[in-house]
Amino acid sequence: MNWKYWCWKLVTIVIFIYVFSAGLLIPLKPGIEEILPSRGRAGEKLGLQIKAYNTSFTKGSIEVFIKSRDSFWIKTKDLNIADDRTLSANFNVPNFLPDASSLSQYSIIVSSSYDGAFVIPGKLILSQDSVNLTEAQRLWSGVDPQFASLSKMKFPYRNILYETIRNTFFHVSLWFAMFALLGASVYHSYKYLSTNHLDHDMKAYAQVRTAILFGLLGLATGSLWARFTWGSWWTNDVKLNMAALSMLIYAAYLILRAGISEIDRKARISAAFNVFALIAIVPLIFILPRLTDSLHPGNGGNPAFGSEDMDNSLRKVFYPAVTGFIMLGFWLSGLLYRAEKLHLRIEDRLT
Amino acid sequence: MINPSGLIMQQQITFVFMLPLLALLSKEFRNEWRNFYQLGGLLAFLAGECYLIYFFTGKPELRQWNLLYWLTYLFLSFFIGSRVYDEDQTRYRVIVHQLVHPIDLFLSKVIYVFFLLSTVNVLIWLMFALFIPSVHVALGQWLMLCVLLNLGMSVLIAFSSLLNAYAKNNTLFLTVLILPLSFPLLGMTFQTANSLLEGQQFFGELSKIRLIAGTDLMIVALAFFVIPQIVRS
Repeated sequence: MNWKYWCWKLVTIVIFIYVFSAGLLIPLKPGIEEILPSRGRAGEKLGLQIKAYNTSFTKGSIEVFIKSRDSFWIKTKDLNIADDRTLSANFNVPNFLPDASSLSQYSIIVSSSYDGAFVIPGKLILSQDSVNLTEAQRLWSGVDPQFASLSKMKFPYRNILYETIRNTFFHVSLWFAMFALLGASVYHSYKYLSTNHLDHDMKAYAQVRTAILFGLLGLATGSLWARFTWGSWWTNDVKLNMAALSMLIYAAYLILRAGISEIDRKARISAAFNVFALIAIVPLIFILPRLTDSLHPGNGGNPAFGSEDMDNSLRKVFYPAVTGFIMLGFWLSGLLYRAEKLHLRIEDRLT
Repeated sequence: MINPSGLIMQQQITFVFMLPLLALLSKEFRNEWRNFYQLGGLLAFLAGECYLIYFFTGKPELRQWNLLYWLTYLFLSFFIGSRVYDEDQTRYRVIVHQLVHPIDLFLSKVIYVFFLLSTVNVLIWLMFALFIPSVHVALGQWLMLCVLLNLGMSVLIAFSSLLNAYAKNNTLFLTVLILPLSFPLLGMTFQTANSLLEGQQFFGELSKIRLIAGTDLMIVALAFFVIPQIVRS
């Protein structure tokens, strides 16, 4: 057995087993889906119904807090647990709020000895008739919250995304792998143009075909994600459409190859086109989406890979996923290259 | 101290170097003049399209006007692209490549296409001004943007036409090649043109202008790197 040959393939398989098992089985952190009502007044009794996700309210002890922007707290007076995901918390809201304006946003924090602490930021709006900051700070200072922390690895809970946050490992990784393959194919096209060695052209062709497959899978996983989070299979988001256009460029590459029968000429022309194609998709995917509004992270002013959309627990699966998909891409393109080579050899024998 | 004889010699060398290029360019212009009906067809197409736009849309909004302008430009650039290397059949190519360097031939095509595209830009502007005059933007600023776009587009069109000549040599195939490759440049130009139409100044949009210029540079550099490899055989 040739270990050098099989070693990296075995590593790819191990990475994929890890990515699929960790990516699909690790649960999400608990989070608050909804609070009702979302408005209240100073000096009144406020009964909040909290609907949470992935929680076990019936296990362990629970405390609920309201927190101001400047970290002043009040604690729930009493609470009723309806089921694992729903509870009612009653508060005596003090007569004054620790804020200079009459209307301000407050966060709700639930701390559970079983699930840990989780927050819905700025969801509760409280109002007051008159402002008295000194008195408010005194009334809101009596609480010193202690939160239970969880040692288990869990993925972050994000409103709108829910379980689809796991798609990060597949959708984003597919695009990363696609670009790695396209980069490699341009390298082989360049090598073909400078050496005339047909092997390089066959490698470039195999890599482009694999990249197109990954690109189409990237579009499909993106479309699925869009349906869940944005409510539509396809939106007029600029990045989405530019990605589809980049696939058109490579469709043109395939058409170009199909249009030329002479092998050397086909290789030469398509290698030249391939070099141009990668340069064309750089502005399409990386520049144009930044010039306009986009729903995608990293475009239209949205952050990408920040703590808001990618925490350390996600990174532990995301980076192996990217590596795994790139390795799988090279594995697949290697198979395509060998098949093409065999095909040529058979044609040579027949003619 | 300037050595006058050296300066004259340098000018002579430059002139000798430019001679094939000038000859090729004059060939392109003479060819166009002899087949003037083709240019006439282009003008008739433009006039017809502008009238149809006027007839069906009346007075379009700024963004629609902008989109229609660049769509018209795109159609006409296909038309121009289909003629760039159309005489370049294999038999003819063997003769031409013995007379002039393929890069000179390509360069002359690029310059000629650039000239045609710039003319088309002015013509579309005039036709739009005649039929759908709903936009007020300085022609000078608009032309500067067009020149910037045409730098890259002329190379892309000549390059695609060359690939087409080496492959199937039909218009549909050429369209398949040009459309996706030209979209990044056209997309960025469309965005910048939108800003100009909304009242921004050309030099106030330097970040976008730089992106277009950068893409132009990349396209030009790549073309002159790749073309010698294509025609090497």
